[in-house]
Formats: sequence, C-alpha cells, structure tokens
Amino acid sequence: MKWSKYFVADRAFEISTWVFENLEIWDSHTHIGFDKDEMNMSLKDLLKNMKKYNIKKSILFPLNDTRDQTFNIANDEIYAAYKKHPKKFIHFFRLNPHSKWKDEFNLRVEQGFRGIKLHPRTQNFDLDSASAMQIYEKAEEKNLPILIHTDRGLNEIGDKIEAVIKEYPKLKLILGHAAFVDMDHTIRKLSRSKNIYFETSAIAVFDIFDILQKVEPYSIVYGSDIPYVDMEYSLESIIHIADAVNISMKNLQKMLSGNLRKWFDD
Amino acid sequence: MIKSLKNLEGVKNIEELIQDIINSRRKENIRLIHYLRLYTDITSAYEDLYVKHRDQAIYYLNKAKRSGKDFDIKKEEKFMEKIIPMIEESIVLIKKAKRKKKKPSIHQMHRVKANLLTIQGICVIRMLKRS
Repeated sequence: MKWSKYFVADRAFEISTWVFENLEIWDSHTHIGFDKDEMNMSLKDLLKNMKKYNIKKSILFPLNDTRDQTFNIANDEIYAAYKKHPKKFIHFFRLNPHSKWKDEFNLRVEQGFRGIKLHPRTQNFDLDSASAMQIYEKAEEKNLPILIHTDRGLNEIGDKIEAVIKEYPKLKLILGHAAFVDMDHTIRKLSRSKNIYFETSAIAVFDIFDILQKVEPYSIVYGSDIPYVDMEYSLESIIHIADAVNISMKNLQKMLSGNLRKWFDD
Repeated sequence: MIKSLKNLEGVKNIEELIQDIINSRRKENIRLIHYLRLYTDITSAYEDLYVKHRDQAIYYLNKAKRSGKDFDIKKEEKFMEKIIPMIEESIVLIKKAKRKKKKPSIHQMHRVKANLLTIQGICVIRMLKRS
C-alpha cells in the first residue's frame, strides 16, 4: 500500500494524519538551553513542540553554551530534564575536546547518559585530532554513540570519518546534518557501515532527496535541530521527499524511529 | 429545435468548464512563479552571505520579503506567515553581525542559514504540491 494516498491537508504543513497516527516518531537532534548566538530553548517549549508534532522521544543535548568550558552546567540541565522526563529523552552530553573533558566524561557515564554530542566547528577541533580520537576511544569502550556535527565549516569529512571508524570499528556515529558539505563522498565511503547514521536536520531539501535516494533506509535517522529548525517543517520535508522517491511505509518507519530504537531501546 | 438548444447549452457548459481549467492553470502558474522567485531570491541571499556580501544578501532578503507580501493567493497565506518572519529575523541577525567588529562568517550564523534553508524547503515542497 502506498502511504502517500493518506495525505490530508488539515495542518499548516499538511503532515499526514495517517503518519501521525500510525508511525512512531523519534527526533534525533534537539536542544535546550542557551547558545552563544543567542538562540535558546526551554524544556517546556521543547516538550510542547514534541507533543504538538507527536514526537515520542528525542535525543537531547546542549546548545553551544559558553557558561563554562566543559559544558558542565549545560550537561547538568540535560540531566535534570532527563530525570524529570525519562521516557521522553535520550540524554546526550556535550564535550569540548580542548577542555579537561575526562572528568566530565566520567561523571556523565556514571549518571547513565546514553551518548555524546561533539561539534568540531564551534569547539574548533579536527575530526581526527588527537583529543577527538581519545574521546572516540572512550566512547567506543563505553558503547556511547556520538552525534557529530558535519555541517558547514568542515571539509572532506568522508575520509576523516572513515579513518575514525577504521580505528574504532565498534564506535557508533550519528552524522548530524548528514555530512552535507561532503555528502557524495561520505555516502560512497560510509553508507554501508552499520554503525553510521545519516541525520537529516537543517539541510537543503535537495540534500534530503539525495540522502533518501542514495543511502539505505537502515542508515537514515530523522532530526529537526530545534530550535533552529522547527519540527513541523523538518518532518514535512522528510515525509514529502520520502513520498517523491517512493519510500515504503516500512522504511519510513525505520527513518522516523526504528533505526534509533535499535541503538537506544531499553 | 429543443434538442439543438440543449446541445448549445452543452457547448456553453463545456466552454465554461474549459475556461475554468484555463483560469485554474493560470492561477497555478502564478503560484509557481511566486515560489520560484522567492526560492531564487533566498538562494541568492544565501550565496551572498556565504561570501560575506552582507549588503547584497540583505538586498535579496528584502526583495524576497516584498515578494512574500505580494503573494496574493489565499491558500498560501499560512506559508507566507511562516516565511516572512524568518526573512525578517535573518535581516536583523545579518545587520547585527555587520555591526560587530569581528565579523562572523556563515559558519557562525547557523540560525540565519537554518532559516534560509527552511524557506527554500518550504518553497520546494509547495511547488511539489500541485493543485
């Protein structure tokens, strides 16, 4: 059965009510807190959005919070949000490889965090720098997936990520923004890896088209990057493009939550 | 005589039907042209921003804002209500960035970039939604 026939135009962005009612949606890229660029998101607003767009669960991590070097304050806020709503969030902590990150790492592992967020551009490190490699090693050891920013500001990342997974073959990586700066190359190099997910937030609609056509459905995860991009639009774009390239309902379900469930279902 | 009148009435109905189709197609073409123009202006702004031509980016964003406001099709209003504030916010952020001594690059303007990509995406999705 082709799912797009159930589309109805009853919402601002016409997200299918059928998709809402029948598919479980997990968002792999959400934030709360404050960013250096003045963007912010409260826990209350995030939960409101999740409810409105029927997002059952979200991977949650801090923005680029400059209150301290180690993200200790911001990670505490993520932990508090998780403790308050444990069924709503998969809590990730953010690290700065230039800071004394080991204490922060150990604390968050003890607290049961499920993954790590790294942002090479804002924390100004190379994907294959020595300190980043140490974090990958520890993450692999503790079986903590890393969501790594692969947006503008980075180049030729396909080769670097390939080198990382050769060194740490059990490391699980979520490529935030689907490596769109080096997408074709990265897809060629990495799309068959079972330990790499391409995450769809904040990329051009044509890039979503490419991802959905060129990457296997078991390697794609939906993300919004709220508060930068709203959940409604990000969902609408992946659903529309999935329809355009004739993705089956079963595979859409994998992208919207099934693949994340494989890594994080308790 | 009655039969031929009925036939004439039928012809008249067909003419009206054809006229309706023509009008509907015209309207649809106008809708597509509006979205193409918006998409093009936003793309130009994005590219200008990327090479730090901020004044030129603001010029294209203002142009896009005017296009959005001139978009006189009822069913697209809700989308313009979403798009125009994003354009306005982007203009404010770029102007703010211009005032700073240390100029941020597009890499540091994730919010503007996300706005522009979202607007481009809405344009494409609306163009795919043929009536």
